[in-house]
Amino acid sequence: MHKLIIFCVMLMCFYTLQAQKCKLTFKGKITDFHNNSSIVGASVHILNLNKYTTSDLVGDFEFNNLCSGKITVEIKHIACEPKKYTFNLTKDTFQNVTLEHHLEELTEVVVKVDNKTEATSIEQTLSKKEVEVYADKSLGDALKSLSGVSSLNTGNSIVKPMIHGLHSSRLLIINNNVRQFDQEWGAEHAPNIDINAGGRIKVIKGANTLIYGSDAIGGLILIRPENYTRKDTLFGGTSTSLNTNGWGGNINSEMIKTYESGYYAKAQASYKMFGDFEAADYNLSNSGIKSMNASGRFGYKSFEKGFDAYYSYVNNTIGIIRAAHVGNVNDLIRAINRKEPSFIDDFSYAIDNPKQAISHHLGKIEAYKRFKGLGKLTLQYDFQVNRRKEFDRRRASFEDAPAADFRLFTTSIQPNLKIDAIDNLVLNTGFLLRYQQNDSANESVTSISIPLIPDYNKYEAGIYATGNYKLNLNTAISAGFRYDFSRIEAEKKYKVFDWEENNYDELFPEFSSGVIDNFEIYTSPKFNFHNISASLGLTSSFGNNFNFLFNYGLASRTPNVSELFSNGLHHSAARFETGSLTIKKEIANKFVTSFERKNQNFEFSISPYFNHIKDFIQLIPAGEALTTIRGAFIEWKYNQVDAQIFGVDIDINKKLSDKFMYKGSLSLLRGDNLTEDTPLINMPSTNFSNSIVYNNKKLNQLSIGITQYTELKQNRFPDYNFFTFNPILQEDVYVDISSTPSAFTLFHFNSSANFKISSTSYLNVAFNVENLFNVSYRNYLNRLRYFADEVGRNFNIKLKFNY
Amino acid sequence: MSNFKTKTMKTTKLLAILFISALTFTACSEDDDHDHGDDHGDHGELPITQVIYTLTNENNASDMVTFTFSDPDGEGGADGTTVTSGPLTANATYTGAIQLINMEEGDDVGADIAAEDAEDHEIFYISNDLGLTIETTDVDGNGDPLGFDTDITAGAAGTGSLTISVVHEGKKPNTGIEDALSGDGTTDIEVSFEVTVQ
Repeated sequence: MHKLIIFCVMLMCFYTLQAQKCKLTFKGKITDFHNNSSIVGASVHILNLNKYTTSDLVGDFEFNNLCSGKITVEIKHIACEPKKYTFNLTKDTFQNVTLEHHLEELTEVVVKVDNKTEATSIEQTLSKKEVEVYADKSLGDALKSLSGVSSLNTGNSIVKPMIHGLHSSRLLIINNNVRQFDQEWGAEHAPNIDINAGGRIKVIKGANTLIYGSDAIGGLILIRPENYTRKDTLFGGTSTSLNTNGWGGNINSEMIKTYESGYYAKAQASYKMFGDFEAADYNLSNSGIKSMNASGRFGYKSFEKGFDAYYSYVNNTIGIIRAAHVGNVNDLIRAINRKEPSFIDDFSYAIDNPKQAISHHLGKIEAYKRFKGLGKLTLQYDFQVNRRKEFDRRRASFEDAPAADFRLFTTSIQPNLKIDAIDNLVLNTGFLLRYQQNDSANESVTSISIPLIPDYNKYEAGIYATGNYKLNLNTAISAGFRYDFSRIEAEKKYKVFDWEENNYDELFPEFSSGVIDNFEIYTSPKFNFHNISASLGLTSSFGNNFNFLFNYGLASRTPNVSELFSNGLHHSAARFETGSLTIKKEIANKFVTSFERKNQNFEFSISPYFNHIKDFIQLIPAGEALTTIRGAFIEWKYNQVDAQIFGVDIDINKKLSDKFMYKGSLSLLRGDNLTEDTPLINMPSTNFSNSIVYNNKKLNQLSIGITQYTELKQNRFPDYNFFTFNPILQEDVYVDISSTPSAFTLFHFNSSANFKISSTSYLNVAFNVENLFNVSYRNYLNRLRYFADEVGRNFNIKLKFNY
Repeated sequence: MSNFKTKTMKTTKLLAILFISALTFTACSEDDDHDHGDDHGDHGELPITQVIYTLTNENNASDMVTFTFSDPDGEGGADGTTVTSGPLTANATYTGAIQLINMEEGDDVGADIAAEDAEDHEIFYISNDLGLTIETTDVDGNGDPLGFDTDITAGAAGTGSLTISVVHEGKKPNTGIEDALSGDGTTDIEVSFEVTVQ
């Protein structure tokens, strides 16, 4: 009874309150976030009252006779991100609402769409799904499946990507928007990136994306994180791969938590282990790899503001086949003539010397805010620590001492302002400040007096502006300009003999400290570089999904520390590598065009390119051998020549029938040393691939495919062969380090199917065979091609469980 | 059934989280500190910059011939130099001893190798064109030839060369240097001298 009275009183109060206040109006105006123009015909919906209206010709809307209380309004417009407001209506209210209708902006926030990096960029993409095929391989292996991309290998686990014949410091690798710095200068230094950590990967074949740097003479590799939809969910996946070749594989797990509010978090980890790989006819002793990776990110994303924090850790221990360690040039000749590795042992998981142990930390934090009528301001801070230890086969007492031990620390800050308030025009401008420090372990650690790379500090500052302008619906143009300053301050010891032999005492007396200790002189080389780069781009689409793109890029690259300062033995091929203080920057003019058709049934792209590089820095055998107590070594020297590289990449995708699909690609390339009128060293040969895939969506997404891949013999190579005296035979012997291996053709088999486990989870099972016919072959672009064949047949099973 | 599935699902997710965090922790803890300091630790081993091969006539101790290779600034820099102190006496027999020296510290690294790492080393003496008979007289722990001690018998008068080669981790026992290097072995030292017999 008592309760009933209270209830009645309350009910009455409520009723009166409503009766009194149900005369309120809620008005508003809807405008475009970018340029404040009115948005006509947007729907305005009060969700809890189920009242609708639309905005009029000037963007105004109005609701009358509303009661006071909490209301939730949702405003929608075609191609706009819907907006939701909840507030307490207590009096007549006017609300300004801004909506965003720039589709390309929105895709960043809400939908998973493959955005082009820039409207005019010539690029190819590996989707997350395509990347997963290479889960237990390296970044270089995955990228190699794209036309125009090859790789420079050291064995089979150290794979450096190469775009249009160029690698190392000529490619920018952008990992989660951070430029990767992991001692990329060395030919046997592969990028330390776990391909399971990112989302899709893009290759941009031109020097046009100036936001990331001025020195992308070869191109750009972008590892993009995934975008998440804004909803409350927890999902993830675990995948594992098992292989008969190397008797190993990997396991990768990731969990993603997203919130409707825009917050998200992701954790990922993977572990990879392989024992000795096997060539067609023998075991590749000491070729195993162990790799441990983890990454985490969290952030908040909305249209107007957001942040993203990312951290990743990569730890690799990579064995280099034992047979690749030679003492001097006569050992090398023996290895070349032997046709089989000198050391073949039973299968083992152990990784002995020679080996590399590398760890890489990368952290970044990025925040952005959009300003009405202006654009988006982004600020990013990042740091990286790369520790590289290289172990050689040395006397027992040296076994545990690395022959090289470098720690590279890089940190940078880069604000970027994107101005998109003007119709059809997008401008990006910003600057970069970067500091880099290398710390090379001294003699007490390595027992080597002069490290291959010296201690140094490097300071960089850059400023840029780029613009994209849409001329009309079909045509867009872009242009960019960038200026970079960099300063290197190194601390390096030289052999007094070398210092004088190279005339450094006359050319650079200011670097010398004059202090000489045990035949070594202490020097402090300092260099300043000014780089200017520019880009022009055009894209034009016409009927039937055809598209034409043109890119021109002017890029300048500062010589890297290895080109300037290298000085020491690289035992793996009896080479002594020498840099030069007189090396200048290199300047490239690259033209790329692409004629494309994007269509479900038949798509293709034909992309010719031409790259002229003035003062191209190359590392070549200097012909004569260098005499040491170990006997003769080949001295590899950095020098500069004018070079040109041109070629064409062709890709074709054709739907043959409902269930059959054809895919083909061809890469042709020619590189010339214009100064000496010879071919360039280490240029990829013509290669092509064809594959046929059967797909049945109804039958568990079954897919079965067969791929053929052929690489022709590289007949265009410079001849750096020479004779050396063999004191054991007491005669001159021929050192053939230039000749190229024969052509080869490989076949691969792929199959996969999905099995549903519950409404939200499924299991993907794949069975693959690589090098189906167990072909024994060698690859010109493998630094260990003198010593052993490439990997033979492999059976692989992959299981992927999504939940 | 569906209840069962949700349960397994949760377990799997939990396991995945556990796996990720376990790996992350291992990854972090394994990252050793930077040991670039000035600790002189156990790495006291030194590079070999000098080879001295001394021959003493068995019948005449004053008839000594030394073959010296010196590269005081080590690998790179100036090339090494070879010096032969004088001629060998025709048909005489010499006892040979070799020193592998680090010139900076004046250490006989060869003595350490003979004492600690003999099984992984063998020193070869090669002279193809001058009727020298060279015999290794010492053995390692396995009873295989080592090469720090030698006997040399000179032949008739003439000139030629002598090459001294230290093979690391080569095949032992073997039938000669090519056989020693046919497997896993690498050349640690390879120096040549002019030899005169008179």
